[in-house]
Amino acid sequence: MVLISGFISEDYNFPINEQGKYHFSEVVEIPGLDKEQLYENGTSFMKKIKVLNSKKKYLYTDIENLTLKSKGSFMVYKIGSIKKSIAGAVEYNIQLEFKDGKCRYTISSFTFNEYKRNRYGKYEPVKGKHSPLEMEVSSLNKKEWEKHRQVVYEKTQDLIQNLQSDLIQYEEPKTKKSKKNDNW
Amino acid sequence: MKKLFLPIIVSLISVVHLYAQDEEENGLQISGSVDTYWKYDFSGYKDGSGISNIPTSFADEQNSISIGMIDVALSQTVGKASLVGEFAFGPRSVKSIPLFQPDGDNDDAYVGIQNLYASYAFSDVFSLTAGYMGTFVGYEVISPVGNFNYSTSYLFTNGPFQNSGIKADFAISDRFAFMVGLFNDWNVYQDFNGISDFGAQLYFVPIEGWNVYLNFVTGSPSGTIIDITTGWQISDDFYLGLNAADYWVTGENAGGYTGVALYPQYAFSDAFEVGVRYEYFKFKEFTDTDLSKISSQNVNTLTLTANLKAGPLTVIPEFRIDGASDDFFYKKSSEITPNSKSASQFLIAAVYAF
Repeated sequence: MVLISGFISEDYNFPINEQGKYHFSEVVEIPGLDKEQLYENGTSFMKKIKVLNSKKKYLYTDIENLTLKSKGSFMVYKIGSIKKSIAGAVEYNIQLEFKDGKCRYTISSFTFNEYKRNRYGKYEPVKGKHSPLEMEVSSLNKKEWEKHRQVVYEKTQDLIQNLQSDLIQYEEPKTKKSKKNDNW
Repeated sequence: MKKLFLPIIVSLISVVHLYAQDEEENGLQISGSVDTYWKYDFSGYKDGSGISNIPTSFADEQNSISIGMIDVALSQTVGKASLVGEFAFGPRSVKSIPLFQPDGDNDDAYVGIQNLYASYAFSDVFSLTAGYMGTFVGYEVISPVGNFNYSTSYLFTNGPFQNSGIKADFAISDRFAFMVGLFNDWNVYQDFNGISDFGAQLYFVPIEGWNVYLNFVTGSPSGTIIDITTGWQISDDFYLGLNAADYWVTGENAGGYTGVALYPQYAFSDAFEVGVRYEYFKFKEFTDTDLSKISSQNVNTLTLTANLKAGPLTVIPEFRIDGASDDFFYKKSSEITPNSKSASQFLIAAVYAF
């Protein structure tokens, strides 16, 4: 377990690492599955992760070291809107490492990318401006920022749940279909 | 360490579900803004309609607690199809959109539509959009939420506000895209002389955080405009924007303009930003209705603006000074002809975005 105990931030129990950064990491045991099968399951999971409004492919695969890396994002919304209106997206890095019966996940580097209304009435990311989620903001904007953190915390928990359920997927070896032998 | 036990062997059923997607993303999005302001022109000048010296769009009413507009945008994306319908009411809206003559009578009707279009993404790269859209040309926009400064530039005021038509967007990558389209004349809901404008846009990202748009629209009687709009987030705190354009029209209304505007902005914190807009703008020589030649004029503008942000509310204090090559402004309200080469004003605006 890589979680640094004793360094838990007050906000929604975000685990933090030695650098003071939000950092989810844990070793998950999945007895009965070898590293190759886990790597395959992890790859399927990672393919479902994407950064919204980006065409870039972030998936990095290293089959030799059984490591996968990618980048994803969660949408966060403005508070007090009649209907949810986009405030921005929080991007994160995710890394999976595999051994027989084990997977270590690391989810880190959470950065907020503000969305702004464009000339066509749609919201789009402000290019080139990313604020670390750990950043303290002024009291004027604290409420919304705290809400974003809470949403990110909850969505990260959901992501971990999804990862765990994807990791235990196991494809049953296809049994050979018996062929009817007429010359019996 | 957490142990996960294999349940009874699960066959691998691939359910494609992107973990980044939110369920709400497919729902109807409602966003918009309201804005209000007070402006004081230091000459005290106002015309019979209460409008002060500096002739750029919006925020033009002298010494009055005035309103901008209430703006509501509805948008939805379902699968590959999406729509935007944006309507607005208020002086800022009236001054930014065309009036409409229903049934061909002479009574103008206020339609109040800022954007109304539908899109279909045939692939990740290619999408087609048709309808009435905010222009793709220029740096500043009609919605006060999209601008840092509250007053607007001469480039914005004299450029197109809307280009309705049909356009094809090709988003090749995050760093390169282009658009081509056929459009009505500028700023009309209905084009009586048929679709007559051709427009194109090239978008590229030379380095991360620096976006460049090269825009081009040409047609008759609209004229031709070439525009570059670029913004560079140099650091987390410092941003530099630039807009330059050249516009010309030939024939009876021959004339045009050329100009450049710089937008450096610095964020002291998430709640306080300061920006300057410097603009040089020149009206080209043109032929007046009585066929007399009007020589070119130019104006230099300096605007100092602060943005104080408290959640959805932005308070914008702004000081602006304009200096022209000729008498372009008025010294006081009783003047009939321009008799001043400069004008200055202060305003404070509140913009609430939802």
